[in-house]
Amino acid sequence: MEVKSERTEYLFPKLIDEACKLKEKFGAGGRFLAGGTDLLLLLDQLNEKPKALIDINRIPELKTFTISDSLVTIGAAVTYNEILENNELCQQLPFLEKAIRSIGGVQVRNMATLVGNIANASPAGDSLPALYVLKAKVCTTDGTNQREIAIEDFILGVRKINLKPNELISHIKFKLPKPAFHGEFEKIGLRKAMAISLVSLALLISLDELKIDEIYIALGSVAPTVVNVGGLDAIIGKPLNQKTIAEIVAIAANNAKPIDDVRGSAEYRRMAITGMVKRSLNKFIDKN
Amino acid sequence: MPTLKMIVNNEPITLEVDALRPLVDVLREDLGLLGTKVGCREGECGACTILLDGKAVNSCLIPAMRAHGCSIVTIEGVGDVDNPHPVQVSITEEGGVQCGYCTPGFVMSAVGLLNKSPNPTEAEVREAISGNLCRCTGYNRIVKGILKSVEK
Amino acid sequence: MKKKGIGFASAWQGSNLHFGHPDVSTVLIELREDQKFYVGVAAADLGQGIPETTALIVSRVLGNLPLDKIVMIDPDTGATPDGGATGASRQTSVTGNAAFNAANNMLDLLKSVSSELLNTSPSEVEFKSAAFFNQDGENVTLSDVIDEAKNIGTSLSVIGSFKAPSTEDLDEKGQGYGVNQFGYATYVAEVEVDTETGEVDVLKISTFVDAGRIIRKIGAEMQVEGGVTMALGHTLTEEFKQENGWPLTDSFTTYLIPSIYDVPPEISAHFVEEEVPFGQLGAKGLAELVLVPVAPAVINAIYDAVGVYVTSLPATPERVLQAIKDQTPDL
Repeated sequence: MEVKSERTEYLFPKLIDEACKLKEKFGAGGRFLAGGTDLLLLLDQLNEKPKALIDINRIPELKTFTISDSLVTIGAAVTYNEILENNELCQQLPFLEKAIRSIGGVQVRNMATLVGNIANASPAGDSLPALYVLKAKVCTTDGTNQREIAIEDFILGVRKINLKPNELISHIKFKLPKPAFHGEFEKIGLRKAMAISLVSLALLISLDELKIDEIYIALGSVAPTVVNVGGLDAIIGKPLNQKTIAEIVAIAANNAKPIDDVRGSAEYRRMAITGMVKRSLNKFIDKN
Repeated sequence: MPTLKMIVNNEPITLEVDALRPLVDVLREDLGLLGTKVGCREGECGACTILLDGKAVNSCLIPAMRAHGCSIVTIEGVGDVDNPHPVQVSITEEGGVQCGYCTPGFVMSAVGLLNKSPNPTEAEVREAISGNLCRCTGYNRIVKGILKSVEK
Repeated sequence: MKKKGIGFASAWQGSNLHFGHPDVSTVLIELREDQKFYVGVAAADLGQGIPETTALIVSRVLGNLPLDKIVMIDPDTGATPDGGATGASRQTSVTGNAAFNAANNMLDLLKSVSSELLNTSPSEVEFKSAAFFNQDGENVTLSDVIDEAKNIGTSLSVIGSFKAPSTEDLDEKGQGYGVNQFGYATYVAEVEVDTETGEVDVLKISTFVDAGRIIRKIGAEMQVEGGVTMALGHTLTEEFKQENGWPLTDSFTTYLIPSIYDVPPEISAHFVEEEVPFGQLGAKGLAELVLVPVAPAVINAIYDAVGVYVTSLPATPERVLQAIKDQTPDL
């Protein structure tokens, strides 16, 4: 008996254009690979054998990582650890650093990419809440046409993203917040390293004469996508005290639609949001 | 099948592989490098840690062809009983080995750290091995061993 | 808000085979041509270090013989005498005493053979620095003794056995001599609890363990630290969940053993070396004992911090927070 098994091709394009043409050629049978730390597990889970893996790590353009005029640009093949090694970014955005450092172990962070965390579109992607409050833009290309999409419009659901079949995420970009801003990242997992978030939170806040000038909160693992907390306009101009914190807590809790899963109950997630919002805002108060 | 060319422990290797085969299986089954262990196959335990172009990575998560053109170091390339690496000596002396299954992975993570940062702080050592799980030791003796290897 | 607490717990745990199962180990020692002592016992090493412990016992009996003169033969019930199961925290106690007896038998044999060469009686021979001395200070070497053994046709091979005191099955009322040995331990746990998320940080565990005489201190400390870590797993993170008989926690991603950040940087081990009721070695087992006080000490520390008892394990953030909320519904 002859067993014919289709072998997966493994391709190393050198140019974005070339990568997109390959994707077009293989259609749904072609998969991009950057860090690839989720890919083997995912293929196993989906029982899928792609016709081709298109490895984008050797496209120099996708290794772009620049900070210029407060604009941060991070290419699709830039790993977490390459970001953590950038002192300027870590000094400016310690909360993003903390979020990235909470992902996997060193071995995963040496392979996995920030853009991969977006493409993977898991509600528990730990870099995502920070990217939401930073209003990151996801930049895609099909080799000819480029699109620029706000991250919350790019991630549509669990493992669902706004990407056309022949498109590639080339990079993300975001503006560094003004120095007046303070950021926090909090995560609760079931253990203290290499844990998947039960709940995570990113916060960006600025005060003007002790009154809240701007505030952004994003919550992870409490809905099918990361949640940008809406309705915070109501507390702009209020002093940051325990009463206001209670209001913020209520607004944040209203935005969450957590579910029960193997890691924890919806009920706990709601309670934990309260604790995390309070904790992160009180840290900010303590620093002032 | 695609042809994989890589350098493993300073030796050029050429072999035909299934592109999707995890690199750890190629190392263990095709090359007989059994020092690299398989613990979980999901990047959770770090027993399969190797150096890929000098950096510690989980070889269970890497499709074999991802290593094409890369340089790999496994525990066999770090040291052995007759000629151990200082990290191996110190971890053993400090009592950081019990059943030993996780040990090659810890050593590789430590060597990956020392490549980057030859005089690490304790916090850096702890972070470097935070992607490795150990059921026996309680970790602290492994940390002490790695720090001691640097003092030598 | 984060609150700190301290908790104590004490435990006792039987070691060696219980309830009437005979508990025996036998150790073989051979002095071979290369002047090394080959020690064989089929006692499995799971990482607890029984070969190192056995070698150390043999070395001490043989006048602190350098350890490079002792070769441990790999355990194999087909080639070495049976040391029995590695379980019931019994190997150091039972195989340890057997090794002690075997080494003494070897010493007696060597004294007997060397006494002929030294023109004295076996009881007058002293073995030190790998040589045999008579009362006049004359000496012969191991090599001389090996040659003499060949001359007189004596095998330089001995065994030593040890059987722990017989136990009995318990009667209908649960009474009887079911266990021949107990270890004792008291632990102090220091924790920090986040009152609004239920997260628990274990800051420090101090252990005080009575396992009789400690044979190999680093090995005992390693067992304590490892046991504490394993027990912290079932106290805080490890939970086997199932649904309709199917495991939900079937991988390291869902069944969570402690990572380095879940273990306190300081686990101190203090040994209280009380005499043991039997055997000349003086050692008791400690492998399982050292796990036992962890959960109650941590749970008591959580109580000390936030005033609530968590009554099912693991004490996940969810269970801790739920306990706090149940106690203070207005929070």
